Amino acid sequence: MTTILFLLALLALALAWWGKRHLSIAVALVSIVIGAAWFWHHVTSAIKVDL
Amino acid sequence: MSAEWARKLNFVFVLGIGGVLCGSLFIQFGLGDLPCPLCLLQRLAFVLMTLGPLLNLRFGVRQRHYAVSMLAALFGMMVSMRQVLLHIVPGTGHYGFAVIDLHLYTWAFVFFTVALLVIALMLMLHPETSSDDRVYPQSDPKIKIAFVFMGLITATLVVATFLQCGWQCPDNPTSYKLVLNSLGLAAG
Repeated sequence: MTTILFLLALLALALAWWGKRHLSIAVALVSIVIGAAWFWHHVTSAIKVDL
Repeated sequence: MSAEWARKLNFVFVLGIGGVLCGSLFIQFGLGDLPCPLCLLQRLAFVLMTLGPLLNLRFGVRQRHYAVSMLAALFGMMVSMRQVLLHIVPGTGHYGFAVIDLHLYTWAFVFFTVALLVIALMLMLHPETSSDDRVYPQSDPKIKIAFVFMGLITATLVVATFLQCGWQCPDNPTSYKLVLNSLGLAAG
């Protein structure tokens, strides 16, 4: 999963270089959202949380 | 702040974060300390944090670009704080070694906090009605250096993470899973 997230980050950099500003921002946001979701899964599966 | 000064600051910001990532790669390959899954997510946040300044260099300074970096910094703070809390109680152990009495995940939290403050300051100094809507050419030296520098670091991180984790990263990595698998040395 982390490898895919780094690939998305690399894609975002490449899109910025090629002049695709909005697409680059969108890919970066997708990467952050997937990373946050994966992180949340990691937290909740590791410990019993009571919010 | 003038557009040219803002671009200079953004360039320095990219070099600074790139330096932090180079340090983490040195610790991985030079000192043999493998990053854990949470450490990898912190690295990802550092990479994504540089996207805002890179976009500023390429397309002129915009508030939207800073927002991407702020979101990445908040994500990184969340992950590093989680790792700090995992080990904050004395006797619960730690991951990796310490630099000047602070572990690397604690340093990451400090860097994310400082970066967030710097981005907020740059946003504050950014004029509300900016007319800098040029697209700067790829041949601009600052753009070329910043993009090549971050591109190389990110490509290295892709390869290093894939060699270490494959598609699924173990909680406590002790070796390069993919290298051992290809050599037929993996346990079990």
